[in-house]
Amino acid sequence: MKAFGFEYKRGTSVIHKLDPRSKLIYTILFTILTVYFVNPLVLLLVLLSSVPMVIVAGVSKRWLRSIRGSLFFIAFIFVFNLIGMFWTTGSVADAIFISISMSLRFMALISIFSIFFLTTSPEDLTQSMVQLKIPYDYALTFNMAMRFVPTLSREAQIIMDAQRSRGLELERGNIFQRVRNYIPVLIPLIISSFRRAELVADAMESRAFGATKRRTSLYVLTMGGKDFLFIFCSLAAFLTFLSIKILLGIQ
Amino acid sequence: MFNLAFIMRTKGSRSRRVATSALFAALTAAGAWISIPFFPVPLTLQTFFIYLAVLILGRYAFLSQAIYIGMGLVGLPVFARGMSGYGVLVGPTGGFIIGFLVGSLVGGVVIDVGGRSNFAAIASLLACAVCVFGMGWVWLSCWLDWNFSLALWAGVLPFLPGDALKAGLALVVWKKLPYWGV
Repeated sequence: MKAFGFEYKRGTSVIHKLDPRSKLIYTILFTILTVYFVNPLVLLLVLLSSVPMVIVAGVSKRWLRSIRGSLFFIAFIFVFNLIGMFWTTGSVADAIFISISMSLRFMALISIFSIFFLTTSPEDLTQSMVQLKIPYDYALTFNMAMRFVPTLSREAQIIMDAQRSRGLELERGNIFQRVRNYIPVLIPLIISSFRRAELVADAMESRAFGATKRRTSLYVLTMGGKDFLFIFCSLAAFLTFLSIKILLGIQ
Repeated sequence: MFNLAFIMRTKGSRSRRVATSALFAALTAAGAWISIPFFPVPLTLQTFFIYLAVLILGRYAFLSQAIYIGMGLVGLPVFARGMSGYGVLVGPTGGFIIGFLVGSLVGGVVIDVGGRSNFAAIASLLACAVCVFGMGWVWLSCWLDWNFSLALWAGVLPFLPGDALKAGLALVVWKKLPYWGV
């Protein structure tokens, strides 16, 4: 449970400072590209186009980790498509072609998504959700849940240790006894977390949560020149890729 | 201070609803980390918390599950085996995660309509489980070239005894909550 933490680390690069909404536009445009093309070369280009951004943002280590984390799925997709395509078409070349492009598509998707989430802070995300007209309740619940997770996993660990010190042996007995062993951990966890939720609710009400119909923010995200430049570049790249398809007839 | 009304009147107070939904999103995430050795597959407490969320929050359990999936998409390691990201969602086991969303909505609506009686609670748990495993089953078989029987044996049947146990436990916990003074 020690590895539990936010993927996001504060950064000062140009990519970090972009408005989340402009990064969202980039993500959507490039996702369309990856789904639209089948040619492995084009998909490789889309994948490589995200590499300079990763380097500029200085998140290459965590970007590599997110690609490595999905290696299992990439292998699964590759093997499954290889077998499936060979079964239906009977041609080895076709099967390899499709498997490579499906794996590259998946890697490109992961890469594009991780740029967005590795460079956007949870606070900015919540604020941009509110400014995109998502109800404030949902944005707040999201932010609050992210703060609850580390607290709860720590609390579960503390309760387990406390019950062990009272002589509870979690890994003992047959299957049904083992399941029953977890009840002394589960019940305190549920009760204490409900109490915590109620305290949070009381704290919110004492800060006049929901007292006014219209809520204003201290910090408002604004789109600057950099954001419009970024959107323009993404759109230009998107249209260039599309014109490859129309002019050269690449699938 | 800690009264039952807090849980039962989730519709009444906006702040309580927000706090409890956030709590269940976090509990579902923490549940993926607590695994109990069980034959043939290890049990995680994930579905237990989903069943409990359905019983306590009603249709707002949907919100907690949507938030849970959102957290996974953002890159927090909240999915089973400490995974996260878009890949898990579209991967072979992604159907179960989508099923959490559908199941919590269907189960929550069932218990809300049924008026929080014992019968409605059992019906809502069944509906929720059918949605979770149904989605997981169809999704997994899609990845296995529509081999439904293989997907059934690999992804559904081994989990059923454990889930029956967890649903029963969720029901007991739900009935006992007033007694514990929460």
